[in-house]
Amino acid sequence: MKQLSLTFLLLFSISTFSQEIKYSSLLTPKELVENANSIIRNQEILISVNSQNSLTIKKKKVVTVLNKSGLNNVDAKEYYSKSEKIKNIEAIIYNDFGSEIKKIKKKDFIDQSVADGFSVLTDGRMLYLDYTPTSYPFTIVYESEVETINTAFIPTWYPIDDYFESVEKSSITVNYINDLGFKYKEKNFENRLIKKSETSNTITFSVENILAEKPEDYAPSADKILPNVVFGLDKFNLEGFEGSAKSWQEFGMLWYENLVSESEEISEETKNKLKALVANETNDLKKAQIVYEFMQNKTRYVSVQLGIGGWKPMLPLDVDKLGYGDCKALSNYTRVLLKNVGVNSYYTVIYGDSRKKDFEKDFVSKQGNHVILTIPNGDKNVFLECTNQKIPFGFGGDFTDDRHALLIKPDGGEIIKTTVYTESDNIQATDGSVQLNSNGTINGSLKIVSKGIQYDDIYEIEDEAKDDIEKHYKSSRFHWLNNLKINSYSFKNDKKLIEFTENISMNVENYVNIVGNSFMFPVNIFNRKTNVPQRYRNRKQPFEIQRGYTDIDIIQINIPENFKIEALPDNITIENKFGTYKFEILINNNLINYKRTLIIKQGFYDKSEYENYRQFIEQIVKHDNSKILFNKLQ
Amino acid sequence: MEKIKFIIYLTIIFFVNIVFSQDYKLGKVTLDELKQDRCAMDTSAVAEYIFSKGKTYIEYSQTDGFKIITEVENKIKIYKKEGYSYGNYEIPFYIENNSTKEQISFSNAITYNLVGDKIEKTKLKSEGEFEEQVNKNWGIKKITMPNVKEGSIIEYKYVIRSPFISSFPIWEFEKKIPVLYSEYFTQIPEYFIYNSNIRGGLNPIISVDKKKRTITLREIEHVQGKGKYETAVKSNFVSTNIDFEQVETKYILNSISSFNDEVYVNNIKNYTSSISHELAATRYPNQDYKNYALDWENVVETIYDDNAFGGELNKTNYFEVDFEALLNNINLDEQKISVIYNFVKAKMNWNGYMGYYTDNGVKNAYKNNIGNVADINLMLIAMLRYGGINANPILVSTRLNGIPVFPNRNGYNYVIAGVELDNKTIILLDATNKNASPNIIPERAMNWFGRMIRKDGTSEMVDLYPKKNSIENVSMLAELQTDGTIKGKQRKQLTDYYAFLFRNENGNRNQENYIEELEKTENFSLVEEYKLDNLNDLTKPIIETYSFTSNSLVDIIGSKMYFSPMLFHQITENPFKAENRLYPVDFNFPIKDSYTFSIKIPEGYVLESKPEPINLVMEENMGLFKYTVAENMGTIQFACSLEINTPIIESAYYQHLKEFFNQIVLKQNEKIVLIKK
Repeated sequence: MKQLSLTFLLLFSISTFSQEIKYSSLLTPKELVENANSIIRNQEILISVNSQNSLTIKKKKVVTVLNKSGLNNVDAKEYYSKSEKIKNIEAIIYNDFGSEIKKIKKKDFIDQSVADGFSVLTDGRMLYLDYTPTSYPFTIVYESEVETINTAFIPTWYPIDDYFESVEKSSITVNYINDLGFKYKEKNFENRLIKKSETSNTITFSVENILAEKPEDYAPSADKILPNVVFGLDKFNLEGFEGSAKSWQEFGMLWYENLVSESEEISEETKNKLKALVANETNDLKKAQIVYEFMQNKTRYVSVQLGIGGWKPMLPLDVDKLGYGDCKALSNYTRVLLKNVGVNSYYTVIYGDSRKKDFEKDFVSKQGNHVILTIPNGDKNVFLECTNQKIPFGFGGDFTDDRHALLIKPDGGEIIKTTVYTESDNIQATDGSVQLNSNGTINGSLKIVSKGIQYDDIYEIEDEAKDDIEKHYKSSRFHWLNNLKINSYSFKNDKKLIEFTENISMNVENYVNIVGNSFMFPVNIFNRKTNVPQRYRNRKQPFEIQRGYTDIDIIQINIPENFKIEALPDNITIENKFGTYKFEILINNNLINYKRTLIIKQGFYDKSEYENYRQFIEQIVKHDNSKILFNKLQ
Repeated sequence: MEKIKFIIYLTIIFFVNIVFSQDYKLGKVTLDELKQDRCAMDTSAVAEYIFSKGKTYIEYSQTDGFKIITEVENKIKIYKKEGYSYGNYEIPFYIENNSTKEQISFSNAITYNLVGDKIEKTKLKSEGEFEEQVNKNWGIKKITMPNVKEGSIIEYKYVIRSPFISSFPIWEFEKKIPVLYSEYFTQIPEYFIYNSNIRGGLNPIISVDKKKRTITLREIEHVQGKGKYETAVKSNFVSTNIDFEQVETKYILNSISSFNDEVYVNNIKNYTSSISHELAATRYPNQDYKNYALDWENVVETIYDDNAFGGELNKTNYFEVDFEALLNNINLDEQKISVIYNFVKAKMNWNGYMGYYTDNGVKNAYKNNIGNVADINLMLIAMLRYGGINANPILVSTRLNGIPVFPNRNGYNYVIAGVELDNKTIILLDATNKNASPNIIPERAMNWFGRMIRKDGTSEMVDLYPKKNSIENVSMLAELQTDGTIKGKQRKQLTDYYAFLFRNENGNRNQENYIEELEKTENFSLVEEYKLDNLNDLTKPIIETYSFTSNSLVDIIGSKMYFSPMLFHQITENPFKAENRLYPVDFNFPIKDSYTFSIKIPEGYVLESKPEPINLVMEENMGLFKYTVAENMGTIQFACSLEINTPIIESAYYQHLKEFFNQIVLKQNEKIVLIKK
């Protein structure tokens, strides 16, 4: 499904571009050069909805590229397939002074299969420009025209589509015929000067003089902060399938009838197996779990993207026979399996991404890039990720959590929200005991239990090779522990409780820094924050913590008899809107009890809060590095 | 290649390996194999090859000429879900044009599963077979096996029929998962001479056999009818028997462990166990022995004689006019080299393509200011020669191309320029990177040995690894405050490769971003007065100076302050974490890092203790580490230096190297202790 998510922005132009504009980069306004690797001098996109089955996208993009990094912002490429044709594509390069130095025709563009890296097969192809600049800056005038039958997708307009790129002028015009139910939605227009003009069958948006922006850590995704306009039609065509829908209800029904319900046949053999498997089970959810695990063991994820195959699931009978399929095929297959044991479930379209991406729920149109399955269960729907053979029943992890999705029900579509995992769900609890030896070595054993999204982050370690597991501990999890030796480890994956337990035994030579007779012992051995977020002189974007979590570490440290504590760090509690940090030490003869609590809350904050958050983390990093000073008695 | 009009009927006699022949055939899956739930060699393996067998032979057909045919049979056991990817297999194939391309066919593809006590077989059908044209020259054939589960056994066979006699496949013994049995069998008629080379740390059992063959040459003789009315053509078949010999070689390895990646590796392909073959010569019946490449001298000659190489080197007319203006009044060789090199570097833009043959030719490249590696560097050589400089091409194998195993044209894929001075030293020049300078060539070309070809056709090996240590010189004046804050001013000097890499990375970086990133990576609370010198003057070292404030460097515990005199420059982790190492550590270039700091102790504090000095020397002077701390009038004087003098350290020295770094990490993290008066 990925190929049609069309996150690449289709951009183009009209023919009114006049001769008097010189393509000289010397004429660029100075403020647009600041922070920029490239400048969009003028971009004009003209989209014409010719009929329900024909859409033309023309682009003209004039970009001044200031340096090598700006070359990636040119985006001189177009995709094509059986249903999308590139009618024109060309580019002209102008030097600093505006005189033409090279003309690139269609045949000089490189033809390449769209290898998305995970599909076994795709019929999507692209033409792209492979130009080696002879000097910077230069200006490129890129023009293209693409015609497609897929009116279900009208490209979203992002006037700002790259960082380090300023925009002198950019516009989009959509011409449409009136009886197809053209609609659009503006997003993030606040504080932006965007001009709009409309007639009965055309609409134009334009912007001027937008300064280059740079990426910032913790910034929300582009669709949440950058201005954009989504367009759509009530009557559309999708790879030859013509549909009409004004509401999600209607849209879902169409989808169900045309793309999902075609055949619900599976083999007798599978039917009999299912019958036997759920024979004694009366509870629907328990039945569903058995069927889900049956499906997980029988299938694997393989992606095939061909024409309508990018939209329509493979037949359940084929999945049954071959034992593989993509998200659509496996979800639909599971739906049919469940139906066979009398459990109702719905094919569910969603954006799958660990970076949360939501359905535009008040804009009825083809959205999403992934499919899961929903089992209705009162006010707590159960969501099944069918492309993962190992994930527990009813757990989708961070790929589909906390976002809106579209249920495709026989009686119509419905927007629902998936499970939210909060800081009290996403827990990592560490219990450990450590022996400090008088030569500075520590021996320790740990039990770490992870739940919620923290479960998702770790459970796959279970089946990794020994070398990779050790590498995980040495180079990532406990990377600050030089000379870490893992003596043994074992895992317990409780899929019912969705809890993953690691038991690790280890030793670390030279853990303690010895200065003469003093021993500097960093008291937080196993869970340190080591990176402070970047400081920005002038933060521009809001910031977002996508998911909250809680870490609790309780470690007992045995110290040698002849060690005397000379200095101890103070206990501390920091509490603010971002979360809580506690650092506690309790001494009991030769036993030190160390407890660390860190709670980070999910949140979306104004840019002015960023510095406070950064300082909060800076404090944590500092306290995570606190040391106890021992003196060795002779 | 010239086609010969005869048909070889090869009587195929299978080489029978008495010990193993029973076990290593497709279609013989047993219940025991299916029941096995973990790999005996490595219990954490996600899958294993029960066997992987390959056979390469040569066939002739009257229509297509010679073809090199490779048959591979794989039998794979899947243990874990992570191993499901072995249920998909893909083979790229080369397409020269519609009629000349590699052809791939799969057969005997079956998934076996245990169902109850029975073996269930599922065959691969056409719906699981795909072909994709990636671009003009490459396609991919893929299969997706049905019904793959934990415990499944997958079998398939594929045949690659290639018209490219000179590209013999490479057989890889080692894979990412264990291989219980690997066998490679070659049958090579005496008409072809291939050099073979086994690479990596494993020694396959090799058995060689020579077989006599009788082939029947059948030639069609077209006989024109004679006489006034006899115009018909008559065809006679003429058969001749010819005896020839075929060399049959079998390579066998058992119980091969999986292969792991590590840090500081040049190109992993250089170390994995494999066997490759290169066409050296052909000697067809009734024809002259045709030499392709037998030693590097031959290789060099073949390359040199090609118009796209030697021919291009000899062209001069395209630059002559510019040249006169360029070298006006310049007489010293040293100046000439510099002027010509900088001219070509400034004028030409590399299009990203490798190769030692020119693409569009030097003349076109010169006109358009764009070219591939050969366009640019051969042009450079031609201009240097025109200016009377003794410049020669040096053929290079890039890091990605690996270290060539035997003399052949594919062993090289890159060319640079070498200027031979009177004292026989050679200056390496590569004009494809704007930040390169004499003896500073891009990393991609810094691989193994190159081969320099002189005008008279003689050639010589040239070591491409830099000899001179690249220097990072850091000096600092810092002041420690009673609250643990350190304020300081740092000056960092970078030479040679350090400077080259810095320029490549930061050449057009926005300064504000750079400073913010610096604050983040070094955990500074503030960076000010940032200044960067000589970014564009390649003849001088990079000099970066800035003032910083940091409050993350000092621990205050009770009445004491603890800090490492390295401040933020210490190596905190030993990069060599693995217990053992099978292949060399590649540092790319020799280095010398030195730190000279002066740190002022705050009012009210005195030095209580300081780390002991240390002087570590690795054997054969491969590495050196020095560290001293002194105090004078309330100021700490600190000096530390680290040298790696051998850029490539063999695995035999690994434990030593690991320990060397371990000592460095320990020492660099030792603390100075200050105490309140």
